[in-house]
Parts: sequence; structure tokens; C-alpha cells
Amino acid sequence: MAIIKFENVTFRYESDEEGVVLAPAVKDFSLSIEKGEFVAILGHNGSGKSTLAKLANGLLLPEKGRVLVDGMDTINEEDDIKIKQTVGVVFQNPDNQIVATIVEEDVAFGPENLGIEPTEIRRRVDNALKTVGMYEYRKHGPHKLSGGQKQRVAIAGIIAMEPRCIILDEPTAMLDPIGRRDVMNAIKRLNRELGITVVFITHYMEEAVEADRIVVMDDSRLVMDGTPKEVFADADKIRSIGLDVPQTCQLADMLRNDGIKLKNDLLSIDELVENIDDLLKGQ
Amino acid sequence: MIKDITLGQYFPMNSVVHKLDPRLKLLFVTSFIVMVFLSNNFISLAFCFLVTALVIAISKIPLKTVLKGLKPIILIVVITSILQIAYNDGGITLVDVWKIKITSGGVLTAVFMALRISLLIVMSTMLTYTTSPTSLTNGLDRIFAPFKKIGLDFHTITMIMTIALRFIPTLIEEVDKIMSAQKSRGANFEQGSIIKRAKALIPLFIPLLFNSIRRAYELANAMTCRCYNGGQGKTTMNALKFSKRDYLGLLAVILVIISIILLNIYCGEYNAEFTFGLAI
Amino acid sequence: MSHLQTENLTYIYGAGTPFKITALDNININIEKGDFVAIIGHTGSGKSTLVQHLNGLLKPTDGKIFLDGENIHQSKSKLFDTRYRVGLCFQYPEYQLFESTVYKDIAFGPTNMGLSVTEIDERVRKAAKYVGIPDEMLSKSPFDLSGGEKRRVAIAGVISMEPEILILDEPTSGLDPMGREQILDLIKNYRETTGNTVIIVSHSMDDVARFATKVIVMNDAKVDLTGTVDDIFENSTHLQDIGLSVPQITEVFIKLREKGYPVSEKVYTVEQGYNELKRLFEGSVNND
Repeated sequence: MAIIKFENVTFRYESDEEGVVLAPAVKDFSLSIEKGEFVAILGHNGSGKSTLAKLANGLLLPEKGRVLVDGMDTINEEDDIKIKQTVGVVFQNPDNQIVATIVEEDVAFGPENLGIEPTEIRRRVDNALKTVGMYEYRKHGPHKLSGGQKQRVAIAGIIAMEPRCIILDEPTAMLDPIGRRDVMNAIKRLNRELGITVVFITHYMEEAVEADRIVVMDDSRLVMDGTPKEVFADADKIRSIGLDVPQTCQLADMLRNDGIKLKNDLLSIDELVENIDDLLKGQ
Repeated sequence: MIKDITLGQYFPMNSVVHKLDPRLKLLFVTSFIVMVFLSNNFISLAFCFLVTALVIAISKIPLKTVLKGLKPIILIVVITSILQIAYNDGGITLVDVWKIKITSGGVLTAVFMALRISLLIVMSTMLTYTTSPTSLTNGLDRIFAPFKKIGLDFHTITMIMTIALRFIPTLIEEVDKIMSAQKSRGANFEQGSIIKRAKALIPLFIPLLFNSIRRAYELANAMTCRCYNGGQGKTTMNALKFSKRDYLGLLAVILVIISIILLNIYCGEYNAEFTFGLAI
Repeated sequence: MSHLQTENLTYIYGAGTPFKITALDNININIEKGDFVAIIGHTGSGKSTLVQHLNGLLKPTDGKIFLDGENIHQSKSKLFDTRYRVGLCFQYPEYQLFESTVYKDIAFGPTNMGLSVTEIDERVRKAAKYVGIPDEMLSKSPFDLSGGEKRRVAIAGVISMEPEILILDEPTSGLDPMGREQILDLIKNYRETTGNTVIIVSHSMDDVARFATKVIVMNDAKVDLTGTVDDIFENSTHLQDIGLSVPQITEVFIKLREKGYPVSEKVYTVEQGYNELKRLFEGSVNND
């Protein structure tokens, strides 16, 4: 059974002005996310991708269609806590997610709300902080940390609830290169080492290629769904919806057009370098 | 100026004082404040002073940091002292020039008041320095828990306190940034009449308000995602439990209170002339 | 004579306390009229502190700043004059919008300058045009705009002061690829049309490699490197070492060099990479 299942979901925000009906933020959207997957959701600003994050754990409820979390319909209020415990969400601005004034007390916030035993909370908090590499900062005040460090604390706060799926809504958009790298490493660890399903919403191509699967959103709809290699093979389509193709893909494309026999599924820098190396040595 | 306010700040250290139960510390500080006000002679006040010094020493917090907490209230202390000197005319007359008459009674009362206020501030600052706001609110939560039965929900209040404390540094930073940005567009916060200056604050307050609403909205979402439901069935990681250390602490607190009461009874109210004579 | 110059500029936060931090350490930079300067550095390298000195927001602990040869801290009026002549647009400037309409917000700077109503109107419309804000949007509330639009309105609010030097601190942060392109394009157009000096602060070489005529790399409160884009990319490995991101394509060539291939160090666009690799492939064919 899928951990998150969107079935024909349509959602629109209410307008501040009376009588004005806004266009749907998500339209006829269907997607099934399986346990253990690492899915990246790509799309430009306003494509509806952030709304998905809020629909996936019942923060928003669909106008049409339904969202199932581990089989539970998000519309059922009695499952609300269970749903939020199953699917944790990390948002873009790390400053606005940290509640407490001490790192470890913030990480404990979720498990405390769930009414978990103090000794068990302690264990979870320590583990979560170690997973994101922030254990040594556990006694610090959050305002003294860098953006990347704060975001890792926010992630730890979600891990401590032991969700089976974590959705990250542009968690790196406000960070510098070092912060982005550290957060990215923490996210990969969640999926690869802890087996948590990860849904990673972003507009950075270099980050999306790390996922097992990429879902592309445009104009409130799902427009592409496949492995990174499949998705980026259609460079023209990606560019037509205002997204970038990784420079490595562009370069490989140009060289292939000149008859240089590079493979057509090169994404990472290392893959490209290896392939160039092989070809040159072979000649 | 805003950065000088230390009340409400936490200063993490590894000391016995830091580890004590927040309820004990709250009890102690409250009763200490009462005791300082009840102290009616220099000996019991000196004892309070000694207790404060001892607490600071055990807490391992640098003296300089503690004294920083007094900076914003120096003005209040000075004004109170001047008023005391001006209105109290007991004891020996020290200076009598034109309309100014300073008596030993006035000076002593002024010193007494200044010491009292300083002790109060220092001890309250010590409470927040050695107790993390979350642990402090936990303590308040527990102390006030019985009131829930009569319909008073203190959890909401303590939650609001925690969030306020959490966001104070963030907002200070933001004020600084917006001010700099508006200054770059020629805004002038420093010059002009009061009305002009008040008007100049609009470009600061409007964005601050909008940003705070956005923050509040995002924070509410994040808290909901972390299963916050108004504190029902909430547990605490650092569950408050009186340990051996806390019982020893409680014993010490009781001893201090008894000592002050005894000193008050047996040393009597201070006598300006007598004390002044001793001082010489 | 240089347009904007710093002389032994040093800035220490919390000077005289045990918590003092040297944010700028003896900075000497020279910016000529019409330069397109990129100041690159990771968070905490001092780059934002530096630009806040260039328009006189912060006062140096030590050293001087000269605008057209005159010390900007010479007098109070000189300092205010500098704020208008050196326009500084902060990071996430959309969070500083406050007026009831876009028009009024863009007019805030010129109004503070004490210009006439007609002059203000002219400048607001001109600035809006530079950033691609259509006339009908001027009467809207800035809070009703999209993120990218807000950002452009905020930039217009600085451009409308018609500064001789325009400084933008991380103008593309938080934007998606399309938004990033738009902002960079408008800055490029602005510079070409006005011929004014532009300074961009960034932590990514990606954004600026294509445009900058001069790059200043900051690290650890000091100027680490200065030069043209080509000069800087000769040290691309060093850039990574000090926590800066270089374009993906540059990384490809760093790795190829590590493998011993004789490829140029100055590759930072896909076209350059393509030419360089073609040369390499053809070269190896010829050798056979």
C-alpha cells in the first residue's frame, strides 16, 4: 500500500476579496508515493508544489478527490494526529519552525505533544540530533545557529516523532552553499539509512537528481513523472516550463549532437567525467 | 539599548544552580524578593547580599554578565535614591546649603533602597540566567496545574511566554535590518520633531507587523504538523522530579528564609544615627 | 581617480567587549565608474558588512571610504548625500515594503530626497519600467503581488533614487530559476542602459560569472582575491575550498584536470565547456 496517495485532488485557496474565486492551486492531481521512496517534486514558484505538502498531511483538505495517508483519508478528523505523526513536514523558513529556546527542547516538542514517556523522548531527541549532525549543539539557543544548522534542527524535530514519511518543502531555498550541502546530506541519510520515505520539494535541479524519482508540476498539474534520467532526457520540455536542465546534461547533449558518443543518461558530474575519461582513453 | 536587557535571557552553564528544579528556583526567588523587602536592618540585608553572592558563585556565571543586568535600571536606582535623599530628613544633618538639606537618614535610606532594588534585579536575572525559558515555563505550568480545575488555563499563557522569548532575538535582528534598509532609502529615524519621528517609524512598523503575521502563520502550521493540540496529554522530556539535590536545595532555601526572619527580629529596625556611627 | 574606494577599512563588532568579532579586516578595494562588480563570499565572510559601509550605513572602526575622492564621513550632509548616490538594496528586500500602493513605495526614496512631485513621478515610472512593473500594477497594494513581483518593486524602490552606484545584496536568493534569470537580466539591462556602476553580492559564482567585469572574493573578513572572472576561475579549486559554489560545468573541468587532462581552468559556461571538450576530443583523434 502506498504511504501517500493523491486521488484526483483539486484544491483552491480562498480569496481575501468577497466573490472572487481563485484558480485551483492543484488540479486533478493523482500521485502514489510508495514506502521507502525518495521522490523529488520539481516546479517553479506558483506551480502548486508547496500546496501538495500541506495536502499530504491534512493541513489543507482537498476540494475534490481525496488524499490517503497509509490508507487513512485526511478528511477524517479522528485520524488527524495519526496522520501528522505518519507524515512530517519541514518548511522553507527554518526560523519560523523552531518553537523552543534550546535546540534539544525544540526537538522534544513533537514527541512531548504525542504524550511519549520522558526517557523515550530523551532517546529519540539524542538520536534525531545525531542523525542530522547537530548533537553537539543540543544545548545551544537556535538564534545563534546558521540557517543550515537551524534547518537541520527543524528536520530533527520531525524525525523525533518517528514519522514514516517526511515532506520537505524547499528546505534549502534560503540557505547558502554550505548550508544546502549539509541539509542535503542529512536528507539523504534519512532515506538511505533510516529507510524513511522522503518527498523533497525543490527547484534546484542539482538536488533533484539525487532522488530516485522526479515528479514535475506545472500550472497546478502533474506534467512529468519518472527517474531523473528519464525526466532530464526531455530537456526541451523541462526548459519550456521554466525550469533548468543540469549543465552536465546540456553539455552532454551538445557533444552528442556533434557525434561524440557519450551515454545519454549522464546526470552527475562524476558520471559525465567518467564517461569522458572512458571515451578519451578508448580512442 | 534594547540589547542591554538581560532579564529573560538564559546563560547556559554546567552548575548545580542550573540543574535545580525550576519550581524550587521560582519558590526561592519569590520568597527571596519578599525577604529583601522585609529586611529592615543592614545586617539582614548584608545576609541577603551574601546569599546572592553565593548563588552567583555557585552558578559559575561571570560577575560581569550578572552586573550587566543592572545597567538598564541604573537610572531607576539613581532617581529613587535622589528622592530618598531629598525627602528623608532623619538623623544627623550632613549638608545644609540653600534649599538642599542632606541628612544621614536620607543617605542611609537611599543606600538601603538602592541595595534592595539591585538585589531584586540581580536575583531575578539569576533565575532566568540559570533556568532555560522552557524549563521555567514547565515549572510555572506545573505550579499552576491545579488551577486548571477551576477553569484557569495557564498552559496557553506559558506557551505564549515561550514563543515570545524564542522570537525576541529574531525580532531584534529584523528591526535592525528593516531600519538599515529604510535608512538606505533616506529614512531618518534620528532627527526631527516628535511627530516627524513617530511618522518615520511607519516604514519600520508596517513591514515588521506584516512579517510577524507571516511568521505567526507559518509557526502555527509547523506546530500543527508537530501534533500540537493545546497541551492536552503533553509530556515533558525533562520531567520535573525532585531529586536529592532539590531536597537539599529546599532545605537551604528554608534555612535562608528562617535566618532572614530571625535577623529581622533580633537585630531590629536600623537606626540611622546608630548605624551611621558604626560606619564611622 | 577611482569612483569608490576603501582604505584600510576595518570593522569590529562589539569593540571593547570580550565578544568582539572582526567583521572586516583591512579592506582595500577600488571600484571604477561603470564597473560591474561581484562581491563573492560565504555567509559570515564579511561581504554584507562591507556593502553596508559603502553607503555609509555602518561607520568603520578604522580606515576610510572615498566616493569620488571625498571621505563619506566628512560631514553629516555628505553622509546623507552618499546614501542617495550609493543605492543599497538588501537581501529579501520584499520584506521591507510598507506603503499602501506600489507607486508610493517606489516613491519613498525620491520623496525623502525632497524632489518635486513631477520629478518623483518621472523617476517612479522610469524605475518601474527598468524592473518590468507595468503601469496598472502601480496602484496595487505591494502585499497583493507575487514573490517575484515584490522583489522587483523593492529593487525599483532603490533604482528610483537614481544612484550612481547600485548595490544589490543577494538579489536572487530564494527565487526559482526563472525568477533568478529575470532579476539578473533586468540588472544587466539597467547597467547597459544607464552605464551606472553595479555591485552584486552573492555566494554563488553561477549568478555573476556571465556579467561581472570585476570580482572581489571575500573570506574570513578579508579580501581573498580580486580580478576579472577569468582571473578568479584560475583558482576554482580554491573557491570550493573556502565554501563557495562554482558552476557545475567548472566542477567537471576541475575533475578532468585532476585526472590529468590538459584542459583550461577558465571554464564557467556550457559553451566554453563545449569548445574545450571538442578541442580535447579532436586533439586525441589527431594524435592517434
